[in-house]
Amino acid sequence: MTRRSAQVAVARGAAITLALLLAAACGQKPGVGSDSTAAPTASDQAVAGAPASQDESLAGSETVDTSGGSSAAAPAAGSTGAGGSTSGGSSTPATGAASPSGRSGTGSAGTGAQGNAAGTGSGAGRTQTSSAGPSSGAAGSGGGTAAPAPVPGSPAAAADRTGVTDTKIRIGIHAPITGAAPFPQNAFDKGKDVYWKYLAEKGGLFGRNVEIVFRDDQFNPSRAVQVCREMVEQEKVFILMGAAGSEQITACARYANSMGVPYLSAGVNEDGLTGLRTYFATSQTYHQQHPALVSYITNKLRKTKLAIVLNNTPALNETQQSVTKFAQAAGLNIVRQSRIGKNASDSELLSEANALRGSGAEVVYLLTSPVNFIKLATNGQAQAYSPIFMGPGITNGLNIVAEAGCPAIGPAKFFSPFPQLDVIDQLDPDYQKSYQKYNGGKGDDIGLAEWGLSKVVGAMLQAAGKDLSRQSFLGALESGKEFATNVYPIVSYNGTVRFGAKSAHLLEADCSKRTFKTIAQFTTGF
Amino acid sequence: MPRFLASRSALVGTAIVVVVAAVMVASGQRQALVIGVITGAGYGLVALGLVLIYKSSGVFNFAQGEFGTVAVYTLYGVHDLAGVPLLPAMLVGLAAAAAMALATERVIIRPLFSAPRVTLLVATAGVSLLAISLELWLGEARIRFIQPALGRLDRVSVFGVQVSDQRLLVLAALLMLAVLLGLFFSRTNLGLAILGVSQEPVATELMGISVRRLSSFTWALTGVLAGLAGMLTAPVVGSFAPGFLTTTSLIPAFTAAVLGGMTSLPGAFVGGVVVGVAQSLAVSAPIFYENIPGPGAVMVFVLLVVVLALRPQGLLGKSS
Repeated sequence: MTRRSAQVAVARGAAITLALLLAAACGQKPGVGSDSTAAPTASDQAVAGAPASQDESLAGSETVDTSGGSSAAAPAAGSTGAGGSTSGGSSTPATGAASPSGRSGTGSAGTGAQGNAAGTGSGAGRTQTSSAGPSSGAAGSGGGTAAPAPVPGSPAAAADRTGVTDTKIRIGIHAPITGAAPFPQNAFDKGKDVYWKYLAEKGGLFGRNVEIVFRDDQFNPSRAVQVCREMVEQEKVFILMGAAGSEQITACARYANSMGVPYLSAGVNEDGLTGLRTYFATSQTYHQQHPALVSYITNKLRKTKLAIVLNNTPALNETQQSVTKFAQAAGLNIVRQSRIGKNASDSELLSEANALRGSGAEVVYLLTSPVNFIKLATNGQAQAYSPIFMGPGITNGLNIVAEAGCPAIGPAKFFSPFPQLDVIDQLDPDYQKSYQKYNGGKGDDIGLAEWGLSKVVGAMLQAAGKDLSRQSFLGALESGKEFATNVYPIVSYNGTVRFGAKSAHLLEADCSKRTFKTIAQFTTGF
Repeated sequence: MPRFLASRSALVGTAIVVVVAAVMVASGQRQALVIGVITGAGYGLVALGLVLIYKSSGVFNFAQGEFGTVAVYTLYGVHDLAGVPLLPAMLVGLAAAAAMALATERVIIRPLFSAPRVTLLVATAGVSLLAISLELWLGEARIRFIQPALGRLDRVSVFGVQVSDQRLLVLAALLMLAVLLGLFFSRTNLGLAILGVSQEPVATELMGISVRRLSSFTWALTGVLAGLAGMLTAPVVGSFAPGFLTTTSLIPAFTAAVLGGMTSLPGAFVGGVVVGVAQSLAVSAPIFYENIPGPGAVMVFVLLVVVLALRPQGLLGKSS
């Protein structure tokens, strides 16, 4: 072989390796290489028949309150609710034979058949709600290319007690421990069991304790589906929960829906999640936070020039349209709209900071990972540009962001499902006591986020009753009951509403202490 | 005229770069040009190490990024956690990177040296993956934040873009190293010996030069270069995590090295800047970012494919 041909061979080898590495990198990019189960289409959404507004009122709501010091009262309330739920759920196995026809049917015809079967089979008011056409349709179409499993909430499915024993309930959680929006692993590990240990001491959930199965989704939707599949098919969890990351949550929620597994997460985007039968947001979605966010900019900050910067993912298209619509309606001048990569390069972020400065934006609506946020703010500061960063989200208001990003992030403000540590003792004194008891130190805000989410789920499990199955769980959620924790906002759902929160907390960075503080609790507007 | 501009092809390549820069200035993308130059300097630093190894042994070193990441972790541990002053801590970081490079040469490269180059390429990729796994295992899978050694942000402003002292330091280090290494390979006996080993190892050995020692020296040197790249660029970005330099810079740096000609050290500098400018243009010009998702990464890939297809020897490289 001549030297020239050897060089060409090596160059080709390098090119192929580089292409493979790039392909792997592109697999993490929005819209490229995403899992097939996470590919909603417009027709999916149309068939799902989701309501135009998720704010519709919930009739006949009942509250399961585990807030503050009243948690001891929760089991009683939950038991009461559970009775009805369980009876409805447990009446369903007899109609199990209807499931295959419902599944094999395609489009609205199959859905309609399933809905009718449900209504006929149970005759219970709650079950009729759960058999409503739109939600059944969503289950039929939401799985993308995969055929959905029997829908637990429908009478067509047998009672599914996967992950539930007489003494244990197994719950799967995925969160980014690595990747662009990482939770510190130690903090996450310490916090994930605190509420369940606290609850176990109070007798558990009808004698059952909760066991958490955790997987790192690496802030990557493909990986998220993979770990959710592991947790469902190998670990046999009862329900799935997503901690953060809109793409990961969307991907996993769609997979869970295709398998008939209940899935809960803090509110993120609605696009891709609307109409999923088994999905429930435990806090406001980005869209739902926008009215309060815009009113804060106009009425409190009194700024007019807004820039909108989002992660470059199709899952946020609707979010971008939503904030644009609300901002324009409020008379704000949108001076720049842009998308940045999930793992944006130094060049990209410096260019973006420079472009934002050039646009003259006074407030930057930001929906990206904490790492991108900190780097963008740092690059902005390097360009003598310090706007007010503001946005919805779950992770940008964490104290680790202030610790690493101050002073560049300035008085950044982010809505959050949970308050910050400065007010938690007033809202829920049990948190710090429990954290101290089980971990031997002061609880942090990551633990608080887990505590709040666990508390919501605990209330839901109580409401599902002693005869716990996926059917009774979904039935309890769809019953219209309100779940109050005094940490997360009150949520309630029904047969079609899956985005059931109506308020959020607003946090502000306090760079003198390098922490976030709570400037509004359970707010709906300003 | 500088030596690397002596050939006609190099002149053409340089002329293209100059014309592109002029068009960017004329079309209002002046800031993208500045941003590209200052961010591309980081790629150029990593590319220097890649070129050094390829020039001396014909190996595409996919572990280059991890040599630098290990240096950053060491700097963080010694300076930020243990409180050792910055300069001694940087020396410890450089030593760690050099040690890792030496270990790679001794354990992986030397036993496989007579194997096809593609085998060595894959072996270095394996070293990189192993290093990332170790960083995840030992260093916890989380992002760490690091402050720049030079904190002033507004010393220089070019076309309205403020260039921080830390970025100036990266640019200066790149320029200086490119020139010094260029002189080293063209003017010193040791440099010429390294080139001799890469072209005719047996003949070089017969001349009484120890190929093994030269190989060790070259790998240690590339470790030091990677360490410098990591420790200078991480504070610019402000954070790092396992696989930091591999994930942020390796592919653009490879593109820079290929663009520069793989064997040309000044070419690595030019290639780094060109890649940085292309990336910056892609994310700044509406025609790109409004139509292409992830335009920066796409631009790097397109640039790599175009160079390999049209001019495999790169802008400043020599065709065989």
